[in-house]
Amino acid sequence: MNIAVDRRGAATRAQHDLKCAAEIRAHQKGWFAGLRRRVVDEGEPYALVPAVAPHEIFEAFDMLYVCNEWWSGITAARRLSAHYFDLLNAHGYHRGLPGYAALSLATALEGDSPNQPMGGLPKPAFVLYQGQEGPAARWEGVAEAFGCPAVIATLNPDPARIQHRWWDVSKRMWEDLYDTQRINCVVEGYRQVIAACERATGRKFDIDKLREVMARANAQEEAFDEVRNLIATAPKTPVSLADELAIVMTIQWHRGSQWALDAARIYRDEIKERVAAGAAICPNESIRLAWGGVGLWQNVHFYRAFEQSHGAVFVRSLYMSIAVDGYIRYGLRDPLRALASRYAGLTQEFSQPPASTEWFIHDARHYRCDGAVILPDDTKFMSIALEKAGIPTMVLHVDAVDGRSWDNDRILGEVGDFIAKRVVPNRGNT
Amino acid sequence: MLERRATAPTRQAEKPFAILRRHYDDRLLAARTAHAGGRRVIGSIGPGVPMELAMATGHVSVAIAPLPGHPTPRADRYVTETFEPLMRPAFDQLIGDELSFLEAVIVVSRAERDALVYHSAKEVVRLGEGDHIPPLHLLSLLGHRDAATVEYGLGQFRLLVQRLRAISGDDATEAALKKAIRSGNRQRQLMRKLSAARRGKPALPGREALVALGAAKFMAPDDYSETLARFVSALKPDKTLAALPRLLVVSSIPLSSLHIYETLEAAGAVIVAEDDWWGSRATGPDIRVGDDALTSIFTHYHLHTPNRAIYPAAHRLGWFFAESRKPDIDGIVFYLPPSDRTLGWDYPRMKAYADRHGKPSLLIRSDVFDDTGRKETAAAAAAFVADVARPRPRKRSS
Repeated sequence: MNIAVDRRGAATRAQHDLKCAAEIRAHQKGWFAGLRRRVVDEGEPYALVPAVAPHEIFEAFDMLYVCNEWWSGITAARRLSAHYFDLLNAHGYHRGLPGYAALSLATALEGDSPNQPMGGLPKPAFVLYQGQEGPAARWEGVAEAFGCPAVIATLNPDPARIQHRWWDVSKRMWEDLYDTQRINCVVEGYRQVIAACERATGRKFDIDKLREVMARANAQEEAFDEVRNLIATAPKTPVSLADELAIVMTIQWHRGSQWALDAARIYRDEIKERVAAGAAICPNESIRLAWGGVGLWQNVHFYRAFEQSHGAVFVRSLYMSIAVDGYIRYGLRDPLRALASRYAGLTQEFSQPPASTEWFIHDARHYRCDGAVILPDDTKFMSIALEKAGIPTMVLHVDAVDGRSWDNDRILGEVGDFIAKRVVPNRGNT
Repeated sequence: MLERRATAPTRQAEKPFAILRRHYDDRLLAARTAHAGGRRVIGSIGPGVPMELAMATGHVSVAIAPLPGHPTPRADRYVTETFEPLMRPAFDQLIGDELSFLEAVIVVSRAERDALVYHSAKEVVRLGEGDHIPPLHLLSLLGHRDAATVEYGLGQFRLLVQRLRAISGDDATEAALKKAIRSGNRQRQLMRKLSAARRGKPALPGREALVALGAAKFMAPDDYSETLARFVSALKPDKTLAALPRLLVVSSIPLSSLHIYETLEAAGAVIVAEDDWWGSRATGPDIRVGDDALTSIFTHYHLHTPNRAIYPAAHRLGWFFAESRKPDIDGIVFYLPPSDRTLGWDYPRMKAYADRHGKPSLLIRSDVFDDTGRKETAAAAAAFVADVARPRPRKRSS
């Protein structure tokens, strides 16, 4: 029986300007349908994994995997997050818990339901989880709800090393940048992931194949680097942040595959063409804004809401820039160690000052941003740093995925006021 | 001055609970006294900072955990309302000039959020606004139980010893470490004795136990042990407490103040245990001295420091699973105020476990640090305690 599900949150739909956006979206839809078929009908194993995890290992095994945060984004974009957060609350998980990556738990608790996005997540062979504060318990809940094992592998990044201008050295000097002992620990954890993949697939780990995957991932991020430079230097922005988030993240979730590399290059080529042709998503662009925090997946159309009214475009997010600055690892003699070094620092780099603040300022200036809109955090250091750098900054109080938190009039009003009263008068001073 | 000395009670004559309470309330008293007496003092933030290493290198170690419920104007400049509520006063104190006499502050981190106060203080220093902040040291540990994690953690302990030796010039010799272990173990034995006196037929209310156990974090170990020994030796089952429902408390915030206990016990219950490093889980067993004293100390803290980030659930919740089902627990209170972002993921599992074992439970989501929350908590606690106190058919624990 198909019970109509309660859809809540922003009802607007994003407008797409790029040809490749539709192609990439269609690929993702077909890929997930294929995954479901292979898992459900043919009994192939797959793993449910966090975003900050060594996806390249799965790619090297040719093992199917689904990124948990992608699932949250899809559920939120379909305006189903409110329904599923209510379901979590009904199961005893209180409303104050961070919900960004929790929607897989909700859909797993619901079980088979025709209302689930794209037919729902099938039962994984195992879930991989991170050892950091609450999520360990949440991931254990996911595993229990699915009735599958949980594998613990991704250790916390090294909190003792918060590096100023880390992006200058992380790609090649990662062994010097991060604590060797910490990298050792992450490598040990990855051996457990490898053992889990071997058990699930019946195949042996091939380190040469991992090296090839890592090299392709590097090439993919290099293509993104070209895109970033094109957007940053173009007279007017050639791609909306809504499109960019969808394109970049879809490609990132297939990182290291040939499809991902090809898609990144197709994206780069289309951006190149658009810049050469003077194509602009907002012909009257006069304000460039940076976005801080995770993507506003419950309403990516928000990023285009100020083009006509204020000539304001969002051009920068952490996703493109962390792909370029945080993911590339050259020196693949030991690809497992190179991969581990990425996760010995990654989340610290975009969340802890001065690593996060200096990087944001550097990036915002590269993109020629006139202002920044950021999601709330536990500290005010990002706002302090950006304002000190001459970049007017607004903290937008909204949940990235919980449709229950969307108040269209308030949000558009607050951001519109910020642009008019803080950004416009300051334009040219950043 | 002389007159005051003449009239003040000697330490031996003063009632031991009064001494413990004084240190519990004035949390820097021992630190200031030691410093005034020429001793080197270090501060610690977070559970499981090894006091033995401080002692062996000639330091007095005290926790930085100011009583909550006071304005935090210095912290407010840098952190938002979602910053950990009990880390906020610690951060506020850390970036002021109150702690500038400390040789160093050790911050222990087992999960990403633990390190936030460290990073925030470091950033204040970087901004040029933290000249009074003592030198900071991050003791970064991991929750895994595998060989690489043990090796990493032991390395972190060695780095801490080196840092402390660099401050004092005192080497942590094997003999010094073993002496510190003996001193620490004596404290542990007394604290366990106190915890045991709360169970079965309770000898003291939970709020007094919390004071007596909590004072350990603010006193020199030998002073504390001497005082606690006198306090524990006088304990005997209290008939007025015997009739009250006996509760176990699980809290998402460290139980570093009495707010929730005063509210719950005012409802007519006695708290006999808590899944918290400020109470029943403050000690663990004695440190077993092996061939290498530093390794013995590390192994103890690695295995026995409570940690909400540890995995899997069997480790993380093992203490709760073992204690909550015992016959001398009549009910369980889960305190998850609005700041909770971690324990809530375990709450349904813990609640289901309590239900399976026939233990009634109460979930409190109000914030007892504000008036409205305190009133809501008091009302919920009164109803719960009345319900628990009501005679009911005995359920067998399986």
